[in-house]
Amino acid sequence: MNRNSRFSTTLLAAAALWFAPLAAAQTITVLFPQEPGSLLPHFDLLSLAHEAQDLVFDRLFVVDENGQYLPWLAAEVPTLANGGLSEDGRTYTIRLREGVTWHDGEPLTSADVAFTWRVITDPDLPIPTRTVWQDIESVDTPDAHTVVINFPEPNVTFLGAASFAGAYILPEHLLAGTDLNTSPFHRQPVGSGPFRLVEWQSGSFLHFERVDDYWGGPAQAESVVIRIVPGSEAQRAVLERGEADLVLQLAITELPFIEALPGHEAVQVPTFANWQVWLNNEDPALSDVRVRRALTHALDRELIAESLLGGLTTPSDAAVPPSHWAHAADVPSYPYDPEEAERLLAEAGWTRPSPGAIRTRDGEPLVIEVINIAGQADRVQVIQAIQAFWRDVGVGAEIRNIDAASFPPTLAAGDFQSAYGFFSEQQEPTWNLWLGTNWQRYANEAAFALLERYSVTVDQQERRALAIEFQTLVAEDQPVIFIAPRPLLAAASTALQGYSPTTTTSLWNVHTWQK
Amino acid sequence: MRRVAGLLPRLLLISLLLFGVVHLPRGGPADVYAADPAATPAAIERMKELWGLDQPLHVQYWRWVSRLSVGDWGTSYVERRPAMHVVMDRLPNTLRLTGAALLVGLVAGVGLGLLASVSRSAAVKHLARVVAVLGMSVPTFWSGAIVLLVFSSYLRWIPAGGMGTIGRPADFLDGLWHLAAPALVLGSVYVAQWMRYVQAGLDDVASEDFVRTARSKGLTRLQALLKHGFPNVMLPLVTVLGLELPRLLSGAMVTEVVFSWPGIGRLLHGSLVARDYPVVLGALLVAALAVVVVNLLTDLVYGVLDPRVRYA
Repeated sequence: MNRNSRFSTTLLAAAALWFAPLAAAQTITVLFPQEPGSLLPHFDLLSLAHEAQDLVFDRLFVVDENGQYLPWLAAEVPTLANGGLSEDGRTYTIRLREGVTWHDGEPLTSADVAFTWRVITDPDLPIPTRTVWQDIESVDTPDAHTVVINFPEPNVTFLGAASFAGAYILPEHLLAGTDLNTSPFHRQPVGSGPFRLVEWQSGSFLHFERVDDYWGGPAQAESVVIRIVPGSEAQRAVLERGEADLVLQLAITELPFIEALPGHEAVQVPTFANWQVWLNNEDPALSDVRVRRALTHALDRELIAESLLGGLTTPSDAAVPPSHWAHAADVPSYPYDPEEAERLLAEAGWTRPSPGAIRTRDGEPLVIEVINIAGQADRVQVIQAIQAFWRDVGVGAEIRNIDAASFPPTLAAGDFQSAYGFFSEQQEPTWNLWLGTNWQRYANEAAFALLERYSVTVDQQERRALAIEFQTLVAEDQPVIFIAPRPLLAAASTALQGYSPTTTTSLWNVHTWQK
Repeated sequence: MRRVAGLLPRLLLISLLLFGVVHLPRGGPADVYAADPAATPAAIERMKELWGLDQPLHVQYWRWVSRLSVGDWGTSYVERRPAMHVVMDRLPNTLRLTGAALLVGLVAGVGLGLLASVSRSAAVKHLARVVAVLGMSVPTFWSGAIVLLVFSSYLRWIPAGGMGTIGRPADFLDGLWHLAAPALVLGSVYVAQWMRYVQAGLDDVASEDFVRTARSKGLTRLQALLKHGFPNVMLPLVTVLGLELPRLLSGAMVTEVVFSWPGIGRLLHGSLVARDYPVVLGALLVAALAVVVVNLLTDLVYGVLDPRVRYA
């Protein structure tokens, strides 16, 4: 090799080194399409914020990829059998894992759990969800590693709430007496999790480093980088260049791209959510159950799921998706049957003035407005399919696009006929779609009585029976059309080991990941 | 001085308009959470009370504008830190991108305009016209996507977005490497436009007596146009530059999303979706202030470029 060529080789090598991103083997890079707002738990409901918080904080329990509770900060899951749950279902006694410390070296104790409860239920803090925690009557801390949670009534949802993504325990010694509204902790958190935040460049990335004395053992990876990449073109470029190990919340439209990308695989992240059409049951046309059933019969949901939801999901008529333990497999169903839809509509008095025309009753056309959240192509495609199917049976549909913030108040005010979106149930169902928002204005006393019995029934099998009975009534009444369970798509490098997403978070076991 | 003093009422009016427009759609920052199954209506209502969003709109405006007057933009509902810090974190990034895009537009636009005007070749003039039409008609979200696909995914010449290589201390070359593609894409829109202004302006003055005189003294066409023609083109160019600022900022919003550039445009997009009013209003006010100030500067530069223009 002569001097010139040696020089060129050295120069090229230096250039390659200079331009190569420092994606060392021990760094796991995760792409987020959206930036978390805050890393102080309980203030942000964005699921990606929970994912990032999972790196820094811990929950009492987690739900694993099989839907089973695992003790996390707790030493064991309280049950009737081990005495952790009282016979009357009102008291949970939780033994905390010993030797757990915060990143500043202070021990994590039962006082931190009690403090977390006080923060969540503090009426002077803008906390978007206090579900279940607000029902707690008192939290006792007989010793540093025992927490006793007391409810005034039997409570069957606490384990679900305590393992919910976002139910992280906060350090009392750092936060007590501070103004949590504007605390620097939102961007400089100190937790007990496997990683600590070392750099947050707004709009660009969050860089976390391994905590060596993590109670679960030091993480396999030295660091985790969350890279914020909102555009699908840039996401593709990052993936094609091999600069990401995992991409969360990909659009379903990206599925063919991922399937064709060497070294990566498409991963279906489990959810308890359904894509659905809320029907306003107080609307003059939609208050008739025959019309609601006809609208479901008119839809070829199999085709929608296959062609527009990536074939990742199978339609079901039950309110709780098949992935959930409380799912009712055998409820009245409404398969694609346009003739039956036409018969039901005619029976309800909606007839076609001429072949192919929109149906009318007393001169009023049957045209239903469908509200949608603007800006997502895959949603629009599904609504257009619904529009076409309904049009086939003589029902007109007009799409009204509104922004995400306008969607809840519009539906809550009842200022709609129908709306397309998704809604998720919890690990321990809280039935918020029915008992909380009830945007569909469902009114069936018998069904709601079942849910009331459900909420005070301690035995899970009995609860399941009640849940199935409730879903059967809902399926008969069709207050909501369940299009299909909502698939969530992620892309993972085939070299990444340990990634096993759950219904709550994807990064819950990140300390075991390696590549 | 009078013109500078006139800025204040103008900005006050703009603040009123912005506040009204931002609050026009139904729903608000707390309602963004309401679609989440975990959120409870009572908790959402409490959030509105705590944030003062249950107050009449005029009360909310007065509170915002009075705080604004003492430099308090409010606290971001999303990031829970002063909205001013949120906006100011991103502002330098947008200035870097738009500044580089302006430079690309000016250098390439003026250069190509000059070339098209000076050249006698029909092919060069035709090529310039094609460049002009392409530049003006291709939207940045499309050209950005194509640039990423070709130069980042396939050729690997440019990074896949962002402002710097993660894990490396910031340095000039790395910054330039990341800046080049978004600046070229954003600037390309203006290359075409400014090229046509320069070409048309130079073509107009080329037949003027003073240029003919210069040529008769032995100057080449290029020398004559550069020395005697170009100053005449500067005035309309400055006007266009001033007028183009709003379009440049809105173009930056799209380019920032495509190239994952952490600028104010992307911040505004996310904040609008989240209805983060303090950040949205802060970012919009900064943009409005920039437009007003640039228009003022444009007026002032007139006086320098054209001695006939004088302001009291």
